[in-house]
Formats: sequence, structure tokens, C-alpha cells
Amino acid sequence: MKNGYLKILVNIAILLVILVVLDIMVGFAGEKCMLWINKAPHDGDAALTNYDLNAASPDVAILGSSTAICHYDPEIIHDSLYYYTGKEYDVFNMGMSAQRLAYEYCALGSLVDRKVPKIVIIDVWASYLSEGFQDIS
Amino acid sequence: MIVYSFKYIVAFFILFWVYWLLCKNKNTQNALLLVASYVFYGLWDWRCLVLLFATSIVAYGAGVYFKKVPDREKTFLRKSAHWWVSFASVTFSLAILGYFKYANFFLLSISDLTGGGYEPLNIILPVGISFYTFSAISYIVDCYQKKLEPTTDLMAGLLYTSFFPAILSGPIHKATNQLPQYLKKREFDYNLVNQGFKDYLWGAFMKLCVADRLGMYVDAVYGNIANHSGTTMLVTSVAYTLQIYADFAGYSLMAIGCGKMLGIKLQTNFNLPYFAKTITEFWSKWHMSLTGWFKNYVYFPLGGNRVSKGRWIFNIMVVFLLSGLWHGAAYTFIIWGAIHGVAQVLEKLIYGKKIKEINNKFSLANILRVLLTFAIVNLAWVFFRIPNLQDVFTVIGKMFTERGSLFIEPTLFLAIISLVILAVKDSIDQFGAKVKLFNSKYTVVRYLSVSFLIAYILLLGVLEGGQFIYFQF
Repeated sequence: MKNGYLKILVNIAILLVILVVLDIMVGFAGEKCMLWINKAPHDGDAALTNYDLNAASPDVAILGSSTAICHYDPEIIHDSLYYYTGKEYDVFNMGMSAQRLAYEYCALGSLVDRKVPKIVIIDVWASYLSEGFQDIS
Repeated sequence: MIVYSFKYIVAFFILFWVYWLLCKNKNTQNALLLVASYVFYGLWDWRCLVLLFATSIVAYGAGVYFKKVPDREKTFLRKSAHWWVSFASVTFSLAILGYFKYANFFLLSISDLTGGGYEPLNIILPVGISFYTFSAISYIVDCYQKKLEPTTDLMAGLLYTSFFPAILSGPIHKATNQLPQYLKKREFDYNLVNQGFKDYLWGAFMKLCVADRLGMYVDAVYGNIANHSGTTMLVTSVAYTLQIYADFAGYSLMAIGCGKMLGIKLQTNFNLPYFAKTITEFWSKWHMSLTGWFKNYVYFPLGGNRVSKGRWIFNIMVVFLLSGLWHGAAYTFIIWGAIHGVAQVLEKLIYGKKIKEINNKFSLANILRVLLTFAIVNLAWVFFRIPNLQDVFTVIGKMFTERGSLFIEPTLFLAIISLVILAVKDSIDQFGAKVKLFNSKYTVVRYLSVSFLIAYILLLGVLEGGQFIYFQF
């Protein structure tokens, strides 16, 4: 009987070791895959998302959905800020089609990790209050 | 506490070692399991412990009466004293079940018929009540019929009804199989523990990687019936058919696995039901403990098939209508039972005695039989899943009349990967192939297959998922 208990303990130990090794291997492979996926897109929304979440570090960030992309022109905001303050501000539109607060929350979080922007413009419109808003609030 | 939660696994691990290392005799083993069972059940809702205890103690008391008091013939209305005690104790158990599960259904039905405005009673449905009530009835009837020697061991008697792995969702105990196991000391058996762990693991895979993944898709579609196409309805009905199998068979395996790890063998509940070639065969492979219960305690007492043809059909329909009602207090469940009853009557009338001669060979006729059985079962599950009859007819109408594009969710792909694994395993079991992973003769294969399955569950399982479908029954 004692042999049986011992065998169970040995089994648990072996399983734990295999699981740890598997975890490291899956983690390593997963990281490599993500790096490959992140490097892959050169154009389109995937490339933009990749840039927003991993590289963008503007002084003025614009967040929102497609309405933000269409309605906020970084060049005009840049020129206006220069006109009134005399300083150069790096303005970037991080809007993403069909995304709402959840994506913006994530994008802002990753941006703040890299650099705290001076101004953040969040484009909010009526449907934010009806769909999806509750999830993130 | 759900049986795949981290809390449960830690608690079970501690219980396992205390049970095997410190409990040196039958009484301490039973005492520990009894306390663990009442704590486990009480964590769901401590108020329901009263009902569990009442049902258990009445069944135990009836047994003690049968053992201690000699039977007296024809005491009242030509029935013996033992008959009256068994009648009273079974009625007591059924009354509790009836009140908590069916009172609102029957009162609402009467209200609908009479046109009276009726406010539903504020009654909670105790989890697992149908399972432990049926186990208790099995004990009372088996003792009354002298198929089982009643026990005077209080802890064994209470533990029989409340053994925690099976209390929430079965398997329903058959007293003659189950009770004797609590009357002797369980000896540690490494092979049984090992097999129990593998059963638990495979059950967790079925539940977390197959059932809950499919459930996400099914819930998304059936939650928005009006806006989905007929093609989506058809695929969803099949998805639900697979989901409920993986869900319930998964739980049963986890319960059986936990039982084995504690030296208790619970009844097998599923045996590849979707490979059945007839509805009759389906019911010998699906929820076997319930089928056995209805056969022993309803079908046979009604006369079984040793009666006239008309009475025999009546007996089958009674069993299936009761089976539908057992699953839930709603018309849709009764219709689900009726579909199975009618299908079984029809195939027995068509096949006659040849139904027993259908072999298991791989042939075109058998493939068609399996597909036809699957289609009938699949259609019946729509009634089982959707609580509103109007919605059921909308879904079925769309399945047969609308085409349209298929609603695709990423979770469906993950479910399909797991389904393929499940289908391969079930096919190996069905066709007796000699490929073995968990029980391979090679140690490396055994360890790796178990480890990969654990990793797979952790990676792709729906770990934050909900409850088991059969808990509501």
C-alpha cells in the first residue's frame, strides 16, 4: 500500500515537471508566434493596431472609432497647437474602425506605459452609452 | 463549489490524503465522506441540507423498520405493514420532490386552464434533488422487495444518498450496487485511483473544452433566434446535441473518477450514445442510471412487455413522459419525452423482435440507422433546450425552410478541434481499435498523453465557465 502512495506522489511530481516544461515550451513558441504575427502586417488595420499598441508615443493622442479617424485631422491639430503655443507637438490619431471603449482603454494603457501624453482626445458618441459601454464601465 | 474549480481540486486533494492515510476503518472513512458530502452540498445552499437529510433519514428509517420489525400480513386495506412503510417513505420523498420542483408548474397549468391569475410560489429548486430522491427510493424499494439487506449503520445509510461526487448530477445510485460498498472498509487500490484520475481528467476535457466551448456558440444563437438563418439553426441544434452529451457525460465521468479515487465505484452513466442504431439502443447508452431506475421501478412494475400490445405501448409512453417530467417542470420536457417514447414504440412495432438482431458491424445499413437515430435525438433536443414552445417551432421551421449563411464565431473553431479529439477517442472505444494513450503499455506515452491533456484543458478550456446543464434537474 505504501508503494501505491509513493507511486502517486512520484506521478504527481513527474506530471508537474512535464507541465512546467510544456508551459515554458508553449510560452516560448507563443512568444515567437506573436513576434512573427506582429512583424508581419505592413498595411491595413492590423498594422495600425500593432503600431498603436506597441510603438505609438505621441504628445497628443486621439482615441475613438472610425468617427475619430474621419473627424480629427492630426495635421490641423498640430498646426493649431503650434499657432497658439509656439511649440511642436507630435499628434497621432489612434482611432480604430469598429472599436469602442474596450479597445481605447487598452490602447491608452499601452501608450501610458511608454509615454504619458500631454493631451488625450477621446471621441465619445451616443451609441457608446448603449452598447458595450456597460462592459467596460 | 464546481467539481473542476481550483477550490474543489485543492479540497479533494487534502480529503484524498486524509481519507487514505488517517482513516483506518470503515466508520472513520464513512464519517469523513459524510462530513465532506454535507459541507460540499451545504456550500450550494445550506438550507437545502434539511431536505437532503430528511430524504436520507426517512429512507434509512424505512430500512431499519424492515429489518427490525417482522412483517405483518394484510394489516390495512389488504396490504402488509412493510408495504405501508415503503409506501409512506416513498410518498414522503416524492412529496418533497413534487413540492420543490413541480408545485409551480402544476399550479400554473391549473391556472392557465381555469383562467385564474396565479402568482408563482417563491420556491427554490434544491440542486440535485431529483438525483438523491431517486437514489433514496431505490434503497427503500430494494429493501422492501428483499433484494437488499437493509442497513442499521446510520453513517453508511446517510452516505449512500449524499456521497458528494454524485449528489449534484448523478449517476443515480442503484442501492444493490452502491450500499454494500459503504458497509466495508475501502482498501487503497493504486490502479483504481490511477484510473479514477484519468476518468476525472477526460471528464474535465469533455466539459471544459467541448461542452462549454459549444455552449458559447449555442447560447449566442438561441439567445437571438429571430436574427439567425436556418443553416445556423441546424448547425446549432447539432452543436447542442454534442454539447449536452459532453456536458453530462463529462460530469458523470468526473464523479465516477472522484469515486474511484476514494475507492467507491459509481455506476457507468454513458456508453457512446450517439453511436446507437435505434432509439431503444440510445436509451441503453444514455443516462444509463436513470434508464435503469425507470426500468426497475416504473416499467417492470407496470408489467413491462409481458402484457398486451396496447398496455405495453402505454407502459413505454408512461416511462418516457415521466422521464421528460423528471428533467424539468415544463411542457417542452414532456414533449421531448413523448418524442422518444413514440420513436421507441414505432421502431419496436416496425422491427419487432428483429431489433435485438441488429449487429454492430460496420455497414451502410448501420451507418444509416445511426444517422437516423441521431437526427431524431437531435430534433428532440431542440425541445429540451428551448423553454418556449413558440421559439421551438420557430427554430424547427427555420431549419427546414430557410437557408442563409452560417453564423461563425472563433470559439466554434476551438470547439471543433476538441470535438475531433473526442470523436477520435469515442471511435476508438466504439470500434475497439488497439490504439491506447492513457493506458498505453509505454510509460512515456502515458505520462505525455496525460500531461498534454492537462495542458490542453488549461490552454483551451473555458475555465471561467458556468454550471453543468444537468444540475437544474
